[in-house]
Amino acid sequence: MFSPARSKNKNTHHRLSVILICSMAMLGLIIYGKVYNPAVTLEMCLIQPDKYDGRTIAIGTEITVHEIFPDGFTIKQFGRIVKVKGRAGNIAPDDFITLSAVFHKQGWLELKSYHVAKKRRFKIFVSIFPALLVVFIFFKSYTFDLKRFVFTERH
Amino acid sequence: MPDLLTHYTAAYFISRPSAFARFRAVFYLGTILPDIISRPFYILVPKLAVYTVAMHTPVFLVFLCLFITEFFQNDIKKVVRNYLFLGVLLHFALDLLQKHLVGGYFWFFPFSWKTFEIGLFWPETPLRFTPVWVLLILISECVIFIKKRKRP
Repeated sequence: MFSPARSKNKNTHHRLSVILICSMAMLGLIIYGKVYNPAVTLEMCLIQPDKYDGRTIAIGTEITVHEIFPDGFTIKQFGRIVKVKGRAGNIAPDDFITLSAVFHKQGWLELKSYHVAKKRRFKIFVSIFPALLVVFIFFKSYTFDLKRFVFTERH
Repeated sequence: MPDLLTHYTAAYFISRPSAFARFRAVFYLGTILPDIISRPFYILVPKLAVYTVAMHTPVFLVFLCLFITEFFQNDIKKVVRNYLFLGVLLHFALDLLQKHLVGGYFWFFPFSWKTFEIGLFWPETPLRFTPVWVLLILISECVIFIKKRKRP
């Protein structure tokens, strides 16, 4: 016999199982991404300079140009300043930059190639509005039912 | 990533057909999802970047979409899931067109760390077109508004 209570219970169990499995999978992926990422970071090079001497590394996380010199420039990442030797063309202090460079155990980098992400701050600023707009459109279409803990359509 | 306005504009024009009408909001959410779950972390706290590697990958987004879908009423779950997937797919399609000097996207994570991009433009290139995107959306909204008013 069909029992609505049993069906509701089954649904709740199924829902909780999916939520739990997905949460665990996402957490596992985040940890895997952190632990097994093969990329060599500037931080790793500076901690073990002998191990990474002569290694070409790619750096791109929140790096800004700090100062410009005739023979190169310095970059700033996580408050750390590192010298980069090589021809710097159209860069200016505070520019966001990504670069590929050879690490030397004395703590400096030999520039191979670079790219300046011009107007990165503007890009972040511009991206805020569509995000807010989508949230607005979403809550215009759906309302959260606190009793059932689900989004339901507004009619 | 191109800026979210570019992603939104693509989603806006793709979702014009009336078939999207009921679930347009979910489609939009899917379109911006890969960026809004990962970028704020490393923009606000750059040291967290290492933890966000997985968050912008197809496999992570599959689990996230399934997770989000569970927070919708039963009778629309399947459709919501499909529209979320479609939105995410559009996001990744645009990201695939870019080029990066460093990094790129791990399409086959966690099975492979290889990256691949078509390399048509730098992530910041679409920024130049933001006024065009805004103008196109405004024109489209005006046309929709006029059409609605003309209807008896």
